[in-house]
Amino acid sequence: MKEEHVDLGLRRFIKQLGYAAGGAAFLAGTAPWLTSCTPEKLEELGREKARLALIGTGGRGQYHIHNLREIPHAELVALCDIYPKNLDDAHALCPTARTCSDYRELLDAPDIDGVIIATPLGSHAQITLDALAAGKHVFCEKAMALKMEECKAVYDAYAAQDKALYYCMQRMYDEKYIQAMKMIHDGAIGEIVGMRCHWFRNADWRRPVPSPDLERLINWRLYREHSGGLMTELGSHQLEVCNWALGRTPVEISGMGDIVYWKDGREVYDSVAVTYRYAGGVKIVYESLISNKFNGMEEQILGKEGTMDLARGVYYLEEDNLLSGMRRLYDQVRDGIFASIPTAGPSWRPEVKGQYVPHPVIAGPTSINNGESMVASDHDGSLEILSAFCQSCITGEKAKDVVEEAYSSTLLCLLGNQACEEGRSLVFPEAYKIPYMKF
Amino acid sequence: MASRRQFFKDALAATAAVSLAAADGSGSAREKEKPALFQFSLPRVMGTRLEFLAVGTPDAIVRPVWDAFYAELMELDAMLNRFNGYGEVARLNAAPSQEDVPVSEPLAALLRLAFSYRERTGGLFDVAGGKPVTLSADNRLTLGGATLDFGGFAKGYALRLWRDRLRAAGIGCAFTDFGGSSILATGHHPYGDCWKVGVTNPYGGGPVDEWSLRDTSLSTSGNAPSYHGHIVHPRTGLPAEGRRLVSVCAPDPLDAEVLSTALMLAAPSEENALASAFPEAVFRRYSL
Ligand SMILES: NC(=O)c1ccc[n+]([C@@H]2O[C@H](COP(=O)([O-])OP(=O)(O)OC[C@H]3O[C@@H](n4cnc5c(N)ncnc54)[C@H](O)[C@@H]3O)[C@@H](O)[C@H]2O)c1
Repeated sequence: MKEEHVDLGLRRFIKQLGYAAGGAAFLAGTAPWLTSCTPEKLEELGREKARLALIGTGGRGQYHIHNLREIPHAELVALCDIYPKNLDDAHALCPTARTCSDYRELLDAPDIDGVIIATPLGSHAQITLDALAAGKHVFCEKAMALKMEECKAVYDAYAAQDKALYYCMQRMYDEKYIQAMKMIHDGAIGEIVGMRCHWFRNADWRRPVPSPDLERLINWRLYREHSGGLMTELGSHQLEVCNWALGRTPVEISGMGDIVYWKDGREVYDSVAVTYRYAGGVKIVYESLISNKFNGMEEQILGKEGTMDLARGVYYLEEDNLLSGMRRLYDQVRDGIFASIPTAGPSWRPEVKGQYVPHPVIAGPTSINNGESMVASDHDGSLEILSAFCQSCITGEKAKDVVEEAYSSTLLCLLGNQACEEGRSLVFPEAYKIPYMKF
Repeated sequence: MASRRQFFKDALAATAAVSLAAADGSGSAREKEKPALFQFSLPRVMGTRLEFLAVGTPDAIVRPVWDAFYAELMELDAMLNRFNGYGEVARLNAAPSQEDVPVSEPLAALLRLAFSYRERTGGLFDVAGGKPVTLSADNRLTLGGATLDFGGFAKGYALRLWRDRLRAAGIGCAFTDFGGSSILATGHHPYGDCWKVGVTNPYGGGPVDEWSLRDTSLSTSGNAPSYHGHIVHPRTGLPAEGRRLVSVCAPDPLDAEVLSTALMLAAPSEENALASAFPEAVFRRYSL
């Protein structure tokens, strides 16, 4: 017996995963926004710090304060909120920062490089436009804005100047999503034939209100002047990953929305089912409900050869290569073709529906968002994207495609709501197409 | 006994359902240009599936050979299956006696063959999992609390029987795929000088290698995401770790089968001994 040496091994596998030598190409291809925050560029920062102001110090804002503590190149210098209780709570977390109630006071301050906006959706556009106009870098919570025309105005303003703008679409900075997308783009699950996303919770979204005049400030999520409901709050993340997977934007939108259970005076739907059709017919079937949590939160990219379960960071294969290998051989012989039969490997074991075997996307423990928290989930990319923003505040380098992705997915959310409202199917409006979008 | 008959009935029904014999000898002009194709597939046998394609031999010749092999294969699977509850090995394993117990002549023959591979592989391949199991000349087996596992043996043995049947019947062009891990290449592809077989990466991505096979067999062992740590070292009791595969090409399918397991476990220092014990085999290792 003799051994024949084959040049394979770890290097190749690592390359497959996008580290090492092929890393640059991988970043540029699958996650171009990561090119502005590579470890090498981080090292160049030295001891410089981004000086930041936080506007909106509620649940998510306070979560960002915790994350900022983990970022060595960040310094929070100012806090702003119109609701004194939240401002006080935040100040307790960061006593060195000064406070104010009108964000415009911060915009002229020379000791502030960038602002973090964590206010209700209705105010995202105005604050972002004002901050960019004042020459600040901006990190804004998703979704981009409450209205399509606001999204377009922000996008145009952003494109016309040189400050960095980020939207907190943390999946774009979540390692398991990035690896999964790399695999999808490499063909691991074959051609994408459909996508299913849903977010189910069993909670009313309501918060206790100390006095009735604060109802709309505190329960802003429930009212249309501030909120797009389930679509913008939850769907925006999930529709983004669908576009990321396919590299395109849907052309047609239809849907239904209702208040099924929480008939408590709220204005936004507590149940939506929206379908997005891409050119060629691939569809996103999107569903969200907040009176039953059985199905949790999932993003499934369905391919001819397998299924990527993005939220869990695992994929499933439809069939092994085996049967298709033999079928291929049969067809080849019948057609007079001589080619290789891709079949050798560890013994095939039956995988029938319900018994699909999950294959992890990345080795080692992964953290999984069960979708239940309204504020955050651990290790979901939120810290990484905030850190990347702080880096941009110092270097001035924009993050590639983040605004474009946020713009596209927010438009889909808003069009979804509009389709529900009007009870008809919509085509993606010409006036809102941007050069980034491929259809 | 009833359950066993039922098992055969079910298995036969399954065969009938997936039979895709393509050559019916009807002799139309089109079929005269193309070689006759005979395809058979067993969806569940020995924990996996078996697929067979014969090219250029008329259905009337291939079918009886297949049928005879099929009956033999079912007997073998029933005897060696650890989980069916009624086979000889399943029953022995269910009550691993400290005393010696009589075993059937066919099982005794297989045990002797398996023990000869234990010798040839320096103990790396052992159906008794490293335990001091013995078989007397009058077919009495002393398990001493051990259990038997013919995985990593049975498919190779079956393919050896199959190879001999194909040879005896003069079937010179055929491809047999036993679950991807055991492949028998009889003759060569009708439009090439060999059968080209790709080694697939169970962790995803394209094929990692290609073998050209002609009148030989290929066996592949290793870990897969869904099936990891199943190859256990008889001496240490530790599973073979790592994202690794080994493919072994050998004229005898049973040699290839046994060696692919042994090589997953062999220390570098043990490879030379294996090489001289199996001079006709060629192997390649893959780190994935
Ligand atoms: N990326 C994520 O996963 C994620 C998670 C949770 C929330 N969010 C987003 O974060 C934003 C805030 O959500 P939240 O749950 O923290 O809401 P919240 O109600 O807890 O906090 C919002 C805060 O903004 C303040 N505010 C309102 N208008 C203001 C103004 N003009 N100037 C200054 N402060 C103002 C409010 O007083 C409140 O303290 C929303 O856009 C939400 O969609 C994102």
